[in-house]
Amino acid sequence: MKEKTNIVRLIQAQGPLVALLVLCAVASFCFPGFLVPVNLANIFRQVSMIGLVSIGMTFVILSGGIDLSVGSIAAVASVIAARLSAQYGLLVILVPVLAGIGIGAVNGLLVTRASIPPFIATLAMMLGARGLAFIMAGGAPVASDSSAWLSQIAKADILGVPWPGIIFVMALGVAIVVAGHTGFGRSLYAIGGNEEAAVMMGLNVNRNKMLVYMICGGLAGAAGMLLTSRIDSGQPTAAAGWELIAIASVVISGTSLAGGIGKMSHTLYGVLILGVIPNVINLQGTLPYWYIDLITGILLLAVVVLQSRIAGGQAENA
Amino acid sequence: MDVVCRHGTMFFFMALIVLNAFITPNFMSLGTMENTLVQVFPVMLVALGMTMVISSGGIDISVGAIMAISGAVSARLYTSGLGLTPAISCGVAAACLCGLLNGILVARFKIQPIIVTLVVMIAGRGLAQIILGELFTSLLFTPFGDFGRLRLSGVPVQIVIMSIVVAAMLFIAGKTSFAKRVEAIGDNSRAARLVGINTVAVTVSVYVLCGLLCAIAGNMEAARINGVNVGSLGVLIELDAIAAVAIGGTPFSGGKARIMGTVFGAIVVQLVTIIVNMNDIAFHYSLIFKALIVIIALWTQRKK
Repeated sequence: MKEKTNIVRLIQAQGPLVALLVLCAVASFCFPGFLVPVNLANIFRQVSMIGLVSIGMTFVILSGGIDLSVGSIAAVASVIAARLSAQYGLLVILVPVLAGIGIGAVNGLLVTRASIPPFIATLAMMLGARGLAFIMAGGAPVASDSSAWLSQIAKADILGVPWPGIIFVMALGVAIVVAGHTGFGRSLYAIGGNEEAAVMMGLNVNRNKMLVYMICGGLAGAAGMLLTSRIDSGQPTAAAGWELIAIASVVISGTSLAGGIGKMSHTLYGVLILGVIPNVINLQGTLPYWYIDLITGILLLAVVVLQSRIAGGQAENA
Repeated sequence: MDVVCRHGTMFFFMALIVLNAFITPNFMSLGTMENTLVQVFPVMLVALGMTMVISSGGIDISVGAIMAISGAVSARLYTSGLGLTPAISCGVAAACLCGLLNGILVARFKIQPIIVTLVVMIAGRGLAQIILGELFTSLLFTPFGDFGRLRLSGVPVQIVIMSIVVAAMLFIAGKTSFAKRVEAIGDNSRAARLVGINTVAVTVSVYVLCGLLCAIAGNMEAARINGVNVGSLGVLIELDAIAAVAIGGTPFSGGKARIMGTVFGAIVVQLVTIIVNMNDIAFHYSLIFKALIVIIALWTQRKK
């Protein structure tokens, strides 16, 4: 067995962070406009919505599940927020999030009570919730009151740091504490690692799974609300494909899709990486937008192959 | 009740047909049935490929992107002057290469299928756009496009090809040891390997087969709509295909491939779209119906 050098150990422990730093270093070297505060704030603002979704996705994936419906949940929340935008106050923030929690609860029921595999249950919900979003919107985008309070959230900032970014960071902070330092968080790792063993240990698996899908739904709802705030409109077609970006963020961050392995804090790096790439392509200016997909895909591929290599010595040979 | 559970898919199928016969004008006509079968062609083929992949315990969400790549390659080569057959052959080859990539990453590098195919899906659609060089290429008034409207003895070519493919898949799934090996890998891949099954070769084959079916579906669709639009070719088809397989009864954790189940599942999915269209119901309701059907189908199939 080869002796691992300190560098290799560092990369293994903090792989996603290293990747992010390398990416930023290369970007700032090639594009002087990258490291400017305005640009960085922009990236931050862009990723905050997907970031919230990714946090929820991390929870679900850690527990061994998956949630493909987050995009559709965000769309429902977005439409609701737009419809309520004329009201001032907590309602306009709370109701979309509650809707997300509600839909998440249905997901949880399908997975725990109806024993439907999470992939299929949330796939069905993805279709169903999207349909619901259309029905609630009456088939067309719902204009949101742009002078209302809601509209300010996404556009305001404190000392140059955009509000959505702050919300994202706060949520992430709470999530890191919950995932790493509470009994609930530890139970998620246990359930994801070996569900049967978790049941035998006496963990309330069904209840925790319900909670996890509700959390994910709620965060998706919040993201949808932020989206409406940002574009001043509730679009039933919004957030299509968010689930894939969220899953990609989680994967890049080193969390295993099988569950039980991963760190919530690394999701931040994954989210940032997936935010930097489009930004860099923009700065480059000449490449058509579809290169973003290709490069993201290749990067993901590289990360995933690397992970499988690194984990090769530790993983069970199937 | 037990009968319903065991034959849930057939039940759905019959129920949908009866429902349609009553509420949809002109449903029970030859034209409608012909249309249904022609329109279900891409979903059917992709779902059949997906069935084998799911039977092996995997999943392939890159099918739409592979369709797009295949269509893009064929269209690009064809409009650049290459003959019809060579162009389509290259398109098919490109799709098989994608399948090969999927299979190798899953079997040899041991990366989870959802991640592999997610990556290929993201990169693939971008790649398709790069290959085509633009978003849309028209195939109107070309032999390529005409092929999509071909009729053999009055029967649309799609129905002919589809029947051949279904028959072939029934044979493969029912009568070959290949299918048994796929099922073994799906049930317990470790045991399959220990028993001497070449899991790498079988897994790769399953993804290549899926790619091949995507190529046929993609090129046929391109021919039928007289053009290749990489932004929309095959988009969301993975959802319909997965729904078809789910309704058809192939276990998602791996196991016995139910080809006939998938066939009916694909038609059921298409019927939902048709009911909604022909009755002037808004498109988004079709999403809700499909979701409900998938949930009910899986609920009736769950192990007690």
